[in-house]
Amino acid sequence: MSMAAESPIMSVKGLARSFGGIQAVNDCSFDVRPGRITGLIGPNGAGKTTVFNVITGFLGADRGSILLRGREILGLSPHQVERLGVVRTFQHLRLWSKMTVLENVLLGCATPAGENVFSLFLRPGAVRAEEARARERAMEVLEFFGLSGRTHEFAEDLAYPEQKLLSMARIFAADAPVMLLDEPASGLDGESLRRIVPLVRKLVEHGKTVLLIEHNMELISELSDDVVFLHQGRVLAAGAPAEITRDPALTEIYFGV
Amino acid sequence: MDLFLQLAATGLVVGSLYALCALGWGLIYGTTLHFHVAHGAIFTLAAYFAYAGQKLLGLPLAVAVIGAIAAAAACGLLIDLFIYQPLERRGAIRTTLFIASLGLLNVVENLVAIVFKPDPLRMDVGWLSNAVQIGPVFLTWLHLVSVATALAGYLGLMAFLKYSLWGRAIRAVSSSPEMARTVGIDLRRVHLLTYAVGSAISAPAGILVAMDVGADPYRGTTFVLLASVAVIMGGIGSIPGALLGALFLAMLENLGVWKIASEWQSTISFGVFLVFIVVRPRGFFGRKIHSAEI
Repeated sequence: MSMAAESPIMSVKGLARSFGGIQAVNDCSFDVRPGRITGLIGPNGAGKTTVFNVITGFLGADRGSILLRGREILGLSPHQVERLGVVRTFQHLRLWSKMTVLENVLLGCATPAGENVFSLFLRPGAVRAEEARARERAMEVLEFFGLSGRTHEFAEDLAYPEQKLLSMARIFAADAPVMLLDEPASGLDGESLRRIVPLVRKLVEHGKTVLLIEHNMELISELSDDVVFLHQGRVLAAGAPAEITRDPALTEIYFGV
Repeated sequence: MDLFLQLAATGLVVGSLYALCALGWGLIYGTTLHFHVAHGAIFTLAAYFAYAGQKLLGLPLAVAVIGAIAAAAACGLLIDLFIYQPLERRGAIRTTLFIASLGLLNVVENLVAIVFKPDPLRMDVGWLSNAVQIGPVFLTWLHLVSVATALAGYLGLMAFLKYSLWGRAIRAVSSSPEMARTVGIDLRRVHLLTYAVGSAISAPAGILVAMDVGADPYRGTTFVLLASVAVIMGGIGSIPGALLGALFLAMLENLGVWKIASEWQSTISFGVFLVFIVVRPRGFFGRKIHSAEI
């Protein structure tokens, strides 16, 4: 299969962002192809999380462009980026800890984004119907992530691997085609780590495109269809995981040996 | 003992007024992290809107009160829209917003004092000022209405936050604004809504005080200060905490009078506040927080 034939769902071009004198991202360009898992790797400080923050509108860029299905999304605010179809997780999960598992996912399903606040008072029936739809969808999502038994527990009471699942579940619920996962496997081990590969694969089977940051090289090889190797804010190499992980020059940079 | 009960009842009434103020201020602070002292101006404006509605426009009391609440809610929203949001867009830090807020409070109070004169203005409340005797305790109907309003305000706010989509969005922003934005919540619209709701909840406090002892241009400052103390005591981000903090503060002030001269009232409340902020900055129910973050 020729990879070049597929047009990218997201294209990052010439992205640059500095903090004071430090060039965190520098002329960074790569493509994310639809229906695939793209791994963003590189040593610490390579600029991976900065790239995530710029794509999702939490940080501005000094230069460059981010096209989502041909449409410029650089400069939009996070909720606008979400509405156009890009959602993300955070390395530190940022769960709504005092809300229940169901409420966490409900907020992903139905945000009062396009809805008029006055309909709360003027059209209570319509609001209730929407709430019921959101609830049904939230239950499906919880089922998908194997959390349906924990619906009414507070997010803070879940074990860490489950919190991690919940952080993915609530953005999955948002129905955006592009999911950015910031270290989905970090902090996991044993059974919960083994479950992460089939789970992310399942996301793709459900029509998602995944861009993920991951430090575990074994996992990257197993999980990614494409790998983008970032070093000092630049893309050093991009290609199939086997090519990247076997390249001695890249390995040297990655492990610092 | 009768004196104790009377003081406790007065404490409950005053605590209800503090609570209305604290619920609104606490909702706004917990969600936006703006130290919104201009909330005191909302308190004052609500009182004068109600006064003007009844005395200048000749509206029936109930209509004047409802109109004043709506107008106060609109003022709260406009403060965020035209003062805080433009400042934030230009990268203002929290201290800048606080100073802007303080300036606004001062301007509004003095404008009100110029337009309406600084002396308290009485409203006509009819039978609401009649006394009610409950055992050894004397209150007025208006006092009972104050307690009922605080209770309704508290329950209404809790239900709104728990069961409505917008309420849930407010809680999401209060708990993690970054994550809220990630699932598509527009922070600025949630802030506007929070200002409207928070102002609408606190407006009755200003109106009830105006109905009881008259509208006064400068009372809002005292109330917003006490509200912030109550919220920090109760725990930032906690609505039950704001209610409890307000009642606790009012009881402390009023029961303190039982044994200590009344001029020590504010010394008592701020003394206890100091102890809280040093020893337990997260208050009764608050999320983990350090003194420096307040």
